Amino acid sequence: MFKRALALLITIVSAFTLLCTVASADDDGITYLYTHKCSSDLSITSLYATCTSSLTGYVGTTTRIELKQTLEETFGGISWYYVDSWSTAVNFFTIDFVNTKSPLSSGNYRIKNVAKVYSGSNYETITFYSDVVSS
Amino acid sequence: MNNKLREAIEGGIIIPEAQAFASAETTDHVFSLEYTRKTEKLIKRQKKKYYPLICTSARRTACVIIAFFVISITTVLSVEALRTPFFDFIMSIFSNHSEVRSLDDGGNYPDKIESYYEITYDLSEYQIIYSDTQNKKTNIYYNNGEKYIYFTQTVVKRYESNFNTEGAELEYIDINGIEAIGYLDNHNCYTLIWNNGEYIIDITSNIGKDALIEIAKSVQKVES
Repeated sequence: MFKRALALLITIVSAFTLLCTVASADDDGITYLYTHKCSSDLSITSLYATCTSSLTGYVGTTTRIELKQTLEETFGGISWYYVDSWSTAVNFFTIDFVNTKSPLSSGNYRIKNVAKVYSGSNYETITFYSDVVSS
Repeated sequence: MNNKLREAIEGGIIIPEAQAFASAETTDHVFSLEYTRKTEKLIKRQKKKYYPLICTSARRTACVIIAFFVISITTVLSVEALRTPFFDFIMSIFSNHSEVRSLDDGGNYPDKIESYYEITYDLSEYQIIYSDTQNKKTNIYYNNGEKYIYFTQTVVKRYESNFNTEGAELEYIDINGIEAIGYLDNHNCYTLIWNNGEYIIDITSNIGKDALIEIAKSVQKVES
């Protein structure tokens, strides 16, 4: 009886511990001090890729956005490899950045975006991704 | 060894020892009542049909599987938005932001912007400070001094966007009969996000929740 109670207690504690770990986990360093929203879309048609990334801050708060967009490819979904990248910067609160790449080889791709979002001399770094798309 | 010595060893040591062992084997031992009860209980249990399932490695395997299942279910239930999908898209809530994405194969929606929606509320006191139209999204941002309004129309399919919802409480707001998600963020901006049946509309402003709801209700399809 005691062993069963102990086993049940251990199971509950393990579940609770895992729950707290998952609930407190954040996604890839997204902090949102000066950022209202961000998104990225990868569209591939006939090995022609269109990479779109958007980020909007707050009027009167966000003063500059530097954005690096990297097209990556994976083999097996574990590691990602560099294909191409583009960078831009605007002294504005919002940005929409569109680039294309062709031809692509058949495979699975995504866009990795790293943005520095400024408010005066302070900034935050945000990393966000597009969905994975197959060519 | 001569015969006399052998007889002496057999008679003096071996035979008495052997007799002692033999007498020990024939002595009747009485088991305690508790021992007897436990033994009978065990024998009874072993005769049950399910005994091989519950008292073998199969039981241990089942315990591990059940524990994993319980943990998985608990984890899923802990993320609020995974329990509250709404109208072909879902909101995943993290500690400092939320991710809104459309469900796979989310309905019969256009693949690109084919018709345009705009705010028809009188915004004559505002200036358009940013306007951008892409294949899958249009943005119109308005500004009047310290007040600003962001309006975005996006294609539903493969929609994914991250919003600053740190410290925000989400609520459901009715926009012309459609359930929208609304929240006040840590910049005192109120945001509304909804699927109007064709596109996902999101508008954000620092003019206050009630004023923004009135503006949201004025969003209509306009001539392209």
